[in-house]
Amino acid sequence: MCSSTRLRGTRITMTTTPDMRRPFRLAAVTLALTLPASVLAAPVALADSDETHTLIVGTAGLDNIPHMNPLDSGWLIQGELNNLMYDPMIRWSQDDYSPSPGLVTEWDFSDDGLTWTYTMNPDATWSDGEPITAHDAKFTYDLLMENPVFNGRHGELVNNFTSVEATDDHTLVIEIEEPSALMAHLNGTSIMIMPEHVWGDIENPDEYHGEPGQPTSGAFELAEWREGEFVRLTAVEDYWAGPVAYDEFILQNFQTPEAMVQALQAGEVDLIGNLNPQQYAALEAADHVTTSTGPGRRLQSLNFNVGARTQDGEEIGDGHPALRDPAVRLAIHHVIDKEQLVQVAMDGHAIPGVSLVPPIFSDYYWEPGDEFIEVSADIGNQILDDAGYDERNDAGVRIDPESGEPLEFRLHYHSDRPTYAIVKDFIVDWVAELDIVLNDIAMDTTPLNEAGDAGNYDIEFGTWNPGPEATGTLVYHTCDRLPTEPEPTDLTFAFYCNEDYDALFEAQLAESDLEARSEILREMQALLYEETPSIQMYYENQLEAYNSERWTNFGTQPSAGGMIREQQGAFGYEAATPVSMDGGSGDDATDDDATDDDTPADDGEPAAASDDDGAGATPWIIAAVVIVVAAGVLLFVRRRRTADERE
Amino acid sequence: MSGDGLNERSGRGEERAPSAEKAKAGARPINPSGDGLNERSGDRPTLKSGRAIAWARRRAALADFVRLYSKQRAGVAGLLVLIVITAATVFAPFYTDESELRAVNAPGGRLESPNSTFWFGTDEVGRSILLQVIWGARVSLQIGIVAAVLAVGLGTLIGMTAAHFGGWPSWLLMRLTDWFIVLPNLVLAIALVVALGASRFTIIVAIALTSWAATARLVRAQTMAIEGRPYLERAKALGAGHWHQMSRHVLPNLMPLILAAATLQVSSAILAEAALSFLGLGDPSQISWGTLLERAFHAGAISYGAWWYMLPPGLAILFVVLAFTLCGRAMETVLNPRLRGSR
Repeated sequence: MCSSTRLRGTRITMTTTPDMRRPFRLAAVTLALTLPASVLAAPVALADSDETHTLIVGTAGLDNIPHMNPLDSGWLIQGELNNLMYDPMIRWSQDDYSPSPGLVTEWDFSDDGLTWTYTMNPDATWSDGEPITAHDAKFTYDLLMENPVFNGRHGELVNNFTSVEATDDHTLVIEIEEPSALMAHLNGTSIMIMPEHVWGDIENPDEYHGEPGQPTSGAFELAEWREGEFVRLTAVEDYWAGPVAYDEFILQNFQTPEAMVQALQAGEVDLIGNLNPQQYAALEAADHVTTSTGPGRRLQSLNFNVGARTQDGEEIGDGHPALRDPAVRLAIHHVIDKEQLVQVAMDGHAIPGVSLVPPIFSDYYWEPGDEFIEVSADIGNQILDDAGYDERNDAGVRIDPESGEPLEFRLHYHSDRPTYAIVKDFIVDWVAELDIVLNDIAMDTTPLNEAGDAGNYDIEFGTWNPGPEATGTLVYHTCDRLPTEPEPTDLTFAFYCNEDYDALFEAQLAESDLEARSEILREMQALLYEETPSIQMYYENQLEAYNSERWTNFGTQPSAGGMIREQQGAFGYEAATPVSMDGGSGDDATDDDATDDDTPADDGEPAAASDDDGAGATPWIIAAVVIVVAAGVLLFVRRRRTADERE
Repeated sequence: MSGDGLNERSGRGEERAPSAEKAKAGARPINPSGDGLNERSGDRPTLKSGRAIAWARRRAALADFVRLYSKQRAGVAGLLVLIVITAATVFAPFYTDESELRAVNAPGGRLESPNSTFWFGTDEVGRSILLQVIWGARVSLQIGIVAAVLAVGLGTLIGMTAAHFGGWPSWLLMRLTDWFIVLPNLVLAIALVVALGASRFTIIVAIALTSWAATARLVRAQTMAIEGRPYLERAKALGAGHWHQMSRHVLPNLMPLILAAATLQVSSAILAEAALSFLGLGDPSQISWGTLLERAFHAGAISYGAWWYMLPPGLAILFVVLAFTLCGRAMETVLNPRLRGSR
């Protein structure tokens, strides 16, 4: 999940394997690869037995999360777990991400938009049987306002509250200072409601770490969390919104996607995501595996340093002065062939980027239409000539007339993301057609982010997971997000600041009418597209695969051709049904492009792991091992021989 | 390699002269070890300048070495492999197009299996694997050789210093050496690269710093053996300083040992580079065999069954390491008559 309001998390989470610990993790993968049976034997055995069904989901990044405090969650994984264990006040609907009833069934606001009334579902209960009431909601919102840790994460919403009152058990009334569009969804899955009868007794709620057996409002309870290894959840039998069709859910951590793919092929996990195109293609060919793909919300961008400075205008960092000129950025935008990048980087499994809102959030997505920035070096060169960059130095590089410096920019890319190493070759060549030089510099993620936060860059690669609430992402381009002191910050994108943009941002936030608000949000995206503080290269599709001999009926979001994992909710997991219980009624809840694999397996025992799991690689790996061993023996024999002679 | 063997080797000069005499009378006065001058028994009619004599002796020693080396079949095979690979690497710019290493100029399709155009297939962008293996050799060999030379150089320096000066500096240096010997090399190298940041230079430094210790021990033992010989005592009596003793007498005697050690060291340095690169600590802007393997792994070559992506760099590492090892062993055998003995 992870709407973009969870800034730190999203940013770091995207680094599926951040920097320093990587080698050790890889070493661990190697171990995990060699000893998967011992690690996973127990859950697999559970899944096979008659009584219990366990959905095992392979993931990366579980070792990143420091705790499982639902009110202080910044990581994608924490969001996934929150969605499984808790219900938000208002859900993002499975069909199209629109706000839809969760714990709240109805909501309404006064004419001035300052008083909001929420009616809670009277049937909703905690997993210990206690009813979920408006008092729980009030307790939680009070906590978010008073506790500095929680407030730092959710202040955007709750700092606008003037009062929160539970007028009766099922009615919550919130008064706010300024009209706010956020009230129509209360930030969706970002904020979960905690039980007052339990959390009221916790002394330091911000130190809550995630304890097994706590009452929850969602479909699952936490049973076990072995840090960095797995999280085990047990299904709540009488979940008020309808229990799931299986008994346990295990989120199993993997160090690399490759290990995950092997585990799926070997039948050790049931569902995995975040595949690369090669892995996806390999799994499409596997018999017992069904692949699923859908447009995602992961955004790959090139960020410019548009002049890092504080709110008072004091300059920080060492960005190139020419990049402050929108003309230079626009010219570069004109040579980035996004269609080709989609092919090269994702083998077509992506959508060319436009602005910060991905097309799956269709309410707010802006189609460039006539304003589309054509891919053309001629236009780019024309823009630069018109803007006065017509002089060139001895090397034929354009010169910035103001500073006298040649247009040579640093391009920072992540040394641990192989796709960027490919993409940057294209970018460098395309930009060279403008007589602009890009010097590509590979950096580990941590130093790269540090350089970015301090404004010590010209152009850098980046990635972002926007949430359904566009404000959470668009706020990163407002002037308020510039640092107040000359210090590094990760609260701004590109150090962009534009008063027109800020005015639009305020206007949409105060607009309660969805259509009018969408219009303003689109206008903001159009402005960003033209001013180009960053170039959105593409939105990655989710590439996922699951064991269709064991599981069926995974729910996707959006329900037509969407994704299973990393949803804004837990629809994907909650709808899953073991094939043995499904009774052949598999009516294609997952109508993706691979339904031909949807084996209507017989009732009864799920087939044991099939024997074709190597997918053709095995013989070659064996051959390689044989050669290496042979060489080793040869060497050994030679040594022995000479050693004999030595004695 | 035990200290015993080294002491044996130190006796080589004396042993060798008689054996060479038996084989070939003319070879007798030409002794590869430094103390040959004193044994020159006057069957040369004219005394040339010292320099000329030294050069004549070196030429003959080299010829001797070549003759004996050429009898080592495995060593010759290893040398041939190395010559072929070196030639392929050095002349790469003349028969391949370097620009095709860039993703933009990739000539092929996505993950093509081996065919007549791309003998080893292509990677996920369409670049020829063969081309990348050839160009990867440059980085792998360069790092391997430079790191080995540095490691052996450092080991020699420390070993000689420890042996020559004795006392507490020796004790200190040897404890340092012991410490580096017991440390797991790869883990230390990983830590160093992580701390210094990945680049070709840091990898070389990391490998060199973690692999000098064994050489230091060898060199110390050999230096002590050489310093025990009488002619060094004579040199000292004639007023030779530390530098003179070390550079004119001890080091030339150490050279064969150092050369063999360095050759073997290259193997392990290349392996270390591949391991570091595979773990994602390589210089990301360069293609080496290790980074090629890493890329193949992350691109999902195993799942995809793209064996042509993983095997060529792996085999290249295997062949080069094997070749260096064979050469090193052959050199050891040639330079140590005891190993050669019965053949």
